Amino acid sequence: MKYLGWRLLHGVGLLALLSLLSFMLSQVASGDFYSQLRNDPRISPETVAALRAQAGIDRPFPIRYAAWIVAVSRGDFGYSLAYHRPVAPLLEERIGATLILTGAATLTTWLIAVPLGIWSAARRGKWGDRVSTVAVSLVLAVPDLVLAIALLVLSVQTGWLPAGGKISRGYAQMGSIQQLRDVAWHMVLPVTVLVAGSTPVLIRHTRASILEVMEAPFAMSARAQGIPRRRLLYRHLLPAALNPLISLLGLSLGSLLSASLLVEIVTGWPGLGPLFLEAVMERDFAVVLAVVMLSAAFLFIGNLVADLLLYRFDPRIRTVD
Amino acid sequence: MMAEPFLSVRDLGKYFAPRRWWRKARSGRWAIRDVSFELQRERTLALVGASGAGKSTLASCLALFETPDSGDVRLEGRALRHTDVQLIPQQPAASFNPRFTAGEALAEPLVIQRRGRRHTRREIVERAMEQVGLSPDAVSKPVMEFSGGEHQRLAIARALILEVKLLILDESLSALDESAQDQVLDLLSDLQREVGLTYVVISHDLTLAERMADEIAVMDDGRLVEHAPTAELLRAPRHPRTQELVQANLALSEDGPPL
Repeated sequence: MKYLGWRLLHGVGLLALLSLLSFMLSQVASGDFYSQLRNDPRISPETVAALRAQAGIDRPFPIRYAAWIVAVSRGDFGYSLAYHRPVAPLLEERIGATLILTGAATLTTWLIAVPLGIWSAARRGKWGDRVSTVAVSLVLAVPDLVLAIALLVLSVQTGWLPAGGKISRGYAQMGSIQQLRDVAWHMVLPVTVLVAGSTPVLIRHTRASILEVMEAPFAMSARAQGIPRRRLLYRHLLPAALNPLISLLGLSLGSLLSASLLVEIVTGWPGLGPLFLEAVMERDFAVVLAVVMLSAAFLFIGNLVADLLLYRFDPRIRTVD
Repeated sequence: MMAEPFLSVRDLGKYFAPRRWWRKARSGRWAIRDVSFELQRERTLALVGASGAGKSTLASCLALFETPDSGDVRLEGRALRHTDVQLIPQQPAASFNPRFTAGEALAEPLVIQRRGRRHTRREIVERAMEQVGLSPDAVSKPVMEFSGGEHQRLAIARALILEVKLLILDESLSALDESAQDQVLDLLSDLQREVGLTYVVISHDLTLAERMADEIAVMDDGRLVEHAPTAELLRAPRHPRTQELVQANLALSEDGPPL
């Protein structure tokens, strides 16, 4: 528990450092939200200056950083200049959409990859394993974005799937079950792309970590006692192979907010991705910083969860403590 | 009429070939070939030879870790089974699942072979620990917290749990210091008398083989080249490879065995 306290403290420090860095980087970027207005002859430099003063971005860097930190620690992520709204509620909607997408994709990925990896390892060198290894390499070699675009083209040509977006026209008039079906239907394409991106990696890791412990002397001696394959797998190999997989689980939990950014942009999913891209282009820094900080916090929490799971599942780590 | 030999090994061979999935392998090697010997009950046979002679492959085949590519191993006239033979490895610590307690590790063979019920298993485990000179109170201690000599004892206890009659010791004592070695040797000879065990001991150390074994078999390049009672083999080695080994061993020990 003392360890947990230290980890949390460490995490807070890390986030603070990250905030300073990203704040500084946003300064280095040329221009601000109002830069483009200067090119407009109808708007006088005085007006721009007044707008900047109103938004508070003409103050010196340390003061603005301090003000931002104080606001964030109260849960106020500032005001989006592009949307003329506070950032927090803006993010809330988008985070929901992103989490539905990445949550479904992550769940699917693990449900497919872990059993397949185990199966593949258990049949090492046989036909099933070879076919699956080749297939995994092929899927791994296809870039996500190419797959996304290919699927979009296919959907447009055939009309099998909605080509992007989250809801159909007339969504508001649907019953709630229909609404659910509509969103799920729209999710198929982006989730497929995400799953195709992460499943091969996870299959490989699962297979490799099981193969590694298969050769371990304790697995050999269990075999010498005439252990059935199934019991060997579940009682000895899986627990021993679990640690690297738990670390990976932490990583995939940690990237729930950031994994789908590009896919969202390509498929027009109204999550954090398009918002983030727009905010960067428009130099709407309050939004950019909030997204960066939240992603970092997620990553930290994901790793923390992984470490706690390791602690729970590996008695050796507990005895060291 | 001569009684049926306890352990009989006939024309045993094991072929290793590099894995090639796109074609049949051509460039393999016989790790052991045409190995035949017999061993009577409650005797100890030492297998000696240079490294690469095939000792460990033979041990793996005898312990059913590997399936031989030719010949067969029979125990009391029938094919060898997992419940007949156990191997005590060179590094017993690694042969235990690091997540298990001593009790779990020793009960695992019983669970695998579906023997006993939950509460009787615990009794069997505690008895086995006593048999090898470990305190039964240590059942709930994690395997990793035992010492090197204790791991050796745990490995022996785990083998005894299945009530096997044949133990293969693959360099099992090489990693121990001399006093721990002595203790385990005593334990092994006590157990041989009490339980009626037969040992096949793999060793590169002729002195150790001399101390433990009733008979010695010498391996060279995958074949068994000489097999004789210990004293006879040391006194009058016939095969050149045996002579080399005996010579090398003489050079090592200061006073040397009586010739």
